[in-house]
Amino acid sequence: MHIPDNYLSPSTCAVFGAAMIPAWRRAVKKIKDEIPRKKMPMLGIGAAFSFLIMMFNLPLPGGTTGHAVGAVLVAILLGPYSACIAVTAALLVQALFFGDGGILAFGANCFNMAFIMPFSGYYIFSILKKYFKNEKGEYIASFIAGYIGLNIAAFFAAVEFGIQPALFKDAAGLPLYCPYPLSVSIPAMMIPHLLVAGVVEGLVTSLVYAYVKKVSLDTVYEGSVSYKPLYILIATMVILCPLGLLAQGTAWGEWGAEEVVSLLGYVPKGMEKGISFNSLMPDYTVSGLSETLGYIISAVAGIAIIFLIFKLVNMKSLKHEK
Amino acid sequence: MIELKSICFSYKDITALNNINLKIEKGESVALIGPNGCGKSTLLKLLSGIIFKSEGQYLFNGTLIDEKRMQDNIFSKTFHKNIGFLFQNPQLQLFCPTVYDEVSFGPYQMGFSKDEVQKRVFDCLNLLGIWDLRDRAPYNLSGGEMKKTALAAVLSVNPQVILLDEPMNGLDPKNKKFLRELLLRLSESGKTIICATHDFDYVKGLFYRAIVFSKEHTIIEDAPFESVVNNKALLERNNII
Amino acid sequence: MDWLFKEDDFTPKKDKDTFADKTVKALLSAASNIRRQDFIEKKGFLYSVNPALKLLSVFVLIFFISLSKNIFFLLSLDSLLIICTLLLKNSSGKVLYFSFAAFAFSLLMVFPSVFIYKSFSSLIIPVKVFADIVIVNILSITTRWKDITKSLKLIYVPDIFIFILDIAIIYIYVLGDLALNMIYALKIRTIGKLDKKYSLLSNIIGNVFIQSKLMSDEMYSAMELRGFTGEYKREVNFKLNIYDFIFILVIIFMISSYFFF
Ligand SMILES: Nc1ncnc2c1ncn2[C@@H]1O[C@H](COP(=O)(O)OP(=O)(O)O)[C@@H](O)[C@H]1O
Ligand SMILES: [Mg+2]
Repeated sequence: MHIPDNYLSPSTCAVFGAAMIPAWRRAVKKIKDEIPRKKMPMLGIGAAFSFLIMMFNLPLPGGTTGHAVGAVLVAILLGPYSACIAVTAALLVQALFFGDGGILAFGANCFNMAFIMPFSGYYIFSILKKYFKNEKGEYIASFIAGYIGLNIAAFFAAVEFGIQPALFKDAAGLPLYCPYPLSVSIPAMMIPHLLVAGVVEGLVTSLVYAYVKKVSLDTVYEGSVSYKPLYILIATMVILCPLGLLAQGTAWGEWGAEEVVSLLGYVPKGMEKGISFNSLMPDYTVSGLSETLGYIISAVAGIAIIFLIFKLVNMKSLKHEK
Repeated sequence: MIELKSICFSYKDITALNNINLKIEKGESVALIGPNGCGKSTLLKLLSGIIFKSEGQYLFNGTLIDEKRMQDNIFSKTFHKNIGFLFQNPQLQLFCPTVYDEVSFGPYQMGFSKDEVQKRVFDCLNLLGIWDLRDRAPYNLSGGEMKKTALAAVLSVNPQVILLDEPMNGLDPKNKKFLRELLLRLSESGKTIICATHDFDYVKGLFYRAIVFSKEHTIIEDAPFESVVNNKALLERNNII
Repeated sequence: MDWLFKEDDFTPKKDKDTFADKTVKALLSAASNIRRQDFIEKKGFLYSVNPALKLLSVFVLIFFISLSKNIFFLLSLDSLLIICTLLLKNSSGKVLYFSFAAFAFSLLMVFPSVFIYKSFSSLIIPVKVFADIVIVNILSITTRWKDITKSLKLIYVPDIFIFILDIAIIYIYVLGDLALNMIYALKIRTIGKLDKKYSLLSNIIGNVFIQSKLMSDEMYSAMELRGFTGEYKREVNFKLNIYDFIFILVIIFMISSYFFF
């Protein structure tokens, strides 16, 4: 799941880094309101905990092993905002000191694992918890949250990989970064995650949660979460896929290079003044986007719809409680 | 039973054991004595098969113990069944939700019936006087209670060799006396006991052999326990008392 | 009770439990990477360069590597980096091992694309990945991590986040040791077939969490007792010495060769 450098274009990385800034801002603000300053060390220690979860090898059928990411677990135990910061710190330590996950791709990795995963997992958990009233139900809810949270994150990673060849080609039409289109990257990422990694994630999430709850209930996060980040999430998805908006205006496959570069070329733009843009990126051209575009749009729309449904269901259940 | 030939061990750049030669027969009870950081815990970890020598040979019942040998699943399990180890910090040893689970962990794996397992756990918990703690979570027990839980867990699989790392630490005087009695009984029943300790008073009559380490991580004395304890000059020279 | 004073007649059943060994390996290697910094001596060229300068150079180099499409530039850079690695005082073997492993893995990943595009152009990615991994490893080996986290201030990372990173590094070591010992305990107490491996490992993870909670409470009390008020200020030192200027020249040379090739 850790995307290394050189698979995503620097501009994609910049977009995701930029998308994370409001998320980090909000998380820090929420944490400041929510937990007293004296709990600050917990974020660092929580980061160490997130880091260590990934070190635990779990047996898989066939004698191999795999590990969990743990972001949903941390979100359930510490709350999603703290999880966002803790996982970000863990990812930074991995990228900077252990060479695990890219440095330019740090923003994208944070987006998938420190933002999408803990928040989506936490929402799913808190919504399902209302339906399953008993204890066992809670464990099932945490399993589902871990399973879906990981898979949504993996899906985002797959999309990030998969849009590269369509967007960034050289003069000969060959891909500059990740060479696999969505039709390859999505199944390649999703099949193992849906079948195996998601189950591992779900099991670890629910078993650890059950254990902690059993032996030390008072350490589990009890705060509530507003749904604002959900809007941010959907908004970023729309911003990240401006293709979706543009495609309605333009005919398929008739994209000019400038259109896309101006949309996704966040970094090069900033550098235009200093270094000649042309010498830096001599042949960034974008040619036909073909059906892949349709794929992105429907995928993004699909996720947005899932989240909206969760939101609606949740509002309903809140009303019931009142 | 246990034989070490020119064993050296280092953690990366830090030497912890330097040229250790040692032979321990079945049924012996041996005290390991030495200043902090001399390598007692490291030696016990090595004997229990947690870490493996950097140099030298470790033979257990004539079999060479190294990483390769321990890859053999059945062999390593038999080995671990035969050697029980009470950590210096028992908190690190307990990973089950309750004291009962902790103690039944080993017996369950031995393929006993439910009743047999229950009997073993009951015996062990009673023996150590912690039956009342059976449903508590180990992590918030007191230090002494944790130690007893860990010891019960070690005893419940009935190992032939028992390694103890400073077992008297953190126990109150009554429990120290009790532990001495227990170890004495185990020793009399033929178990091999190897114990790192500083508490000379509480272990009187328990060991008949003492091995003294210097801070250079080597063995400097291997003699009857009484004579070592009474050799004040030796102990003082090595910063033990 | 008499069972305790007799010998058992017991033969264990076979089971698959490489997961414990793999976890031990992962934890040990993380711990040794952290410990390694205690032994960094300020001798040798790369060790003496200003940490903030090194960090910025890492960012710049990785950025240009990512942009580059020139295999000759990248291969010369790779060779230069290999030479740098061989000049390191310690761990050069390990760095090369990891970097080549990353290279091989990346090659495996992009290789099928050769058949899609009928072109080898994507094989440039592993060459880039290799350079990146070497660069990050050199940074992490030749610099104390707390100097690196401190330097993050230069790219506007807030103090409080640097504080979180510093604590994270210490506690990866402390909690890692706890986890390691628990895995050891699990290993030596595994004398038969384990039925609930996932539960056991999850218990250990849960224990690590509970301990981390307890530690963080204690840590704050200890910090307060020593006069911590919630402010955490780290100053970046940006005084440059002769090594730094040589280093800057080397980096400028590398970057200009990007335009030259
Ligand atoms: N995990 C470790 N990493 C590095 N050095 C260690 C580690 N554990 C112990 N040491 C070092 O090894 C030496 C022996 O330690 P130990 O066996 O714990 O001594 P003792 O139990 O006799 O007090 C000490 O110098 C100690 O600092
Ligand atoms: Mg010790």
